[in-house]
Amino acid sequence: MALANVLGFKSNNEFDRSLQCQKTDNNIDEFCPTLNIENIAQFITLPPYADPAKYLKMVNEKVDRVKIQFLKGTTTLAFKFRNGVIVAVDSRATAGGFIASGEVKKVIEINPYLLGTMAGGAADCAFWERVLARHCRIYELRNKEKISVAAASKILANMIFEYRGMGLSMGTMIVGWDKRGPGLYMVSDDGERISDNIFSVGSGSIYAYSILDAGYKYEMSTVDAIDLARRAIVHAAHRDAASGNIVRIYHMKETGWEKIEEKDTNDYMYQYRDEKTMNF
Amino acid sequence: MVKEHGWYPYEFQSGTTVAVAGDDYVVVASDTRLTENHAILSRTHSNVYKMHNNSLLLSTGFLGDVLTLKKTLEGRIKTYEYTHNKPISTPALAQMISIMMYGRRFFPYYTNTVITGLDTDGKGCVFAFDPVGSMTQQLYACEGSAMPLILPILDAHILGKNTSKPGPVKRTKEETVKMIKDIYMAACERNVELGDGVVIHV
Repeated sequence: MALANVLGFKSNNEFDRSLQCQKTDNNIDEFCPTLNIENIAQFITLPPYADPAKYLKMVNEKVDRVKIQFLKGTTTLAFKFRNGVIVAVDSRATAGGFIASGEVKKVIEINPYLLGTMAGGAADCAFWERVLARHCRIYELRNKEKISVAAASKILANMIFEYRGMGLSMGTMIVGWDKRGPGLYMVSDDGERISDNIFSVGSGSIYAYSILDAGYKYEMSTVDAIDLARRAIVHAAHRDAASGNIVRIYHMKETGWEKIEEKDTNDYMYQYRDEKTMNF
Repeated sequence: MVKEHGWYPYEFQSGTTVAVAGDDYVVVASDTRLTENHAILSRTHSNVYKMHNNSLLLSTGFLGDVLTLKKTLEGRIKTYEYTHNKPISTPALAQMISIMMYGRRFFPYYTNTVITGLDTDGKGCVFAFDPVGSMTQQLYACEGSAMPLILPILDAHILGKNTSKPGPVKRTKEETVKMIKDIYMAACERNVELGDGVVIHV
């Protein structure tokens, strides 16, 4: 921190390095206790009424023209295959019946080898994945090795479980590559954390699942896998009113993630109609 | 209207705000009417607030939450300046707002806020938030009661979407100001909560 620099605070003592770590953490708490979000429970203010989920739901439906509407995300998918994991998302955010934005970044880049997707409440996903990024970074600095996907998803699931029943809405997928190979976990707002080969989350997931299930083979080539993911999102965007705009595709490899493309779903739909081909 | 007996802390009082980012400028506009359920509370209340670091905060929604948000934010901007010895940049401020608003996840600030300013390269940037702090950086933003009216026009004019000449259109400061004036006048005609005056900052 800049204040530490100004004061000339140095910790060169290797002998108590771990003790120093502890001390610095505590000092950070002292510098600005209310701004530090290590204690998340202190940071998120308690509402003055009993049941947040029910109250927020009531306010969401119109009470005298007051309508608090959160941005909700829509179709995301990820699947493991021979050469890693493909993650594909759309980019539409709706608030009630209104399209709030057509260019939301639904893949959150936690660090160069971990990705998180966003579905459900945009603010919820963005906030908790940022907290997760912080935990991952601290783990990396303390243990001198990258965090495993299982551990990262467990951290997130445990954090969310504390707020279970209070109206959080998120269905996120944690994707990464660690010592055990490619990792894919789905974490949802009721504290559920599962690992599998194919996942799709969001209002358009039913359409995406049908395309994915029809064409999925573990031994696919990378090009085929990207094509399958693209088709799944495009078809989901076509049939689901709350999905659409741009499809973004990422490929998680041993060397980290790589962004493959971001293009408009409508253009692809016209292209598929003209081609009239289905490879499966 | 018959209402159930209960506690309704929120009220929708806003006007409408528009922000457009250019290469080295940002044009920000707000109407000046403050309403409460068809009664006009004020005709000279602007929704644009100047922050210490030369960013502009535009906030529509419930006035109580808007003012509290502004007050808390100013406090934190000052703290940042004193701890880090430099004024906070607009993208950093946007992230701070996002986290602050999420702190009230279960009793949200009922505001639709937009923060605008020049980023470190001098380019104009506009960040829009939903009531719980989901942040997105955009070329232009519009919030408030006339949002459904104005946003499609902005889409067509700025991004050139769905028009006969697709593609983003580059404009100078003066052209953008003129465009916003025209848009507000058009929206006024069709929206009850819009009217009285427009305040434009560049």
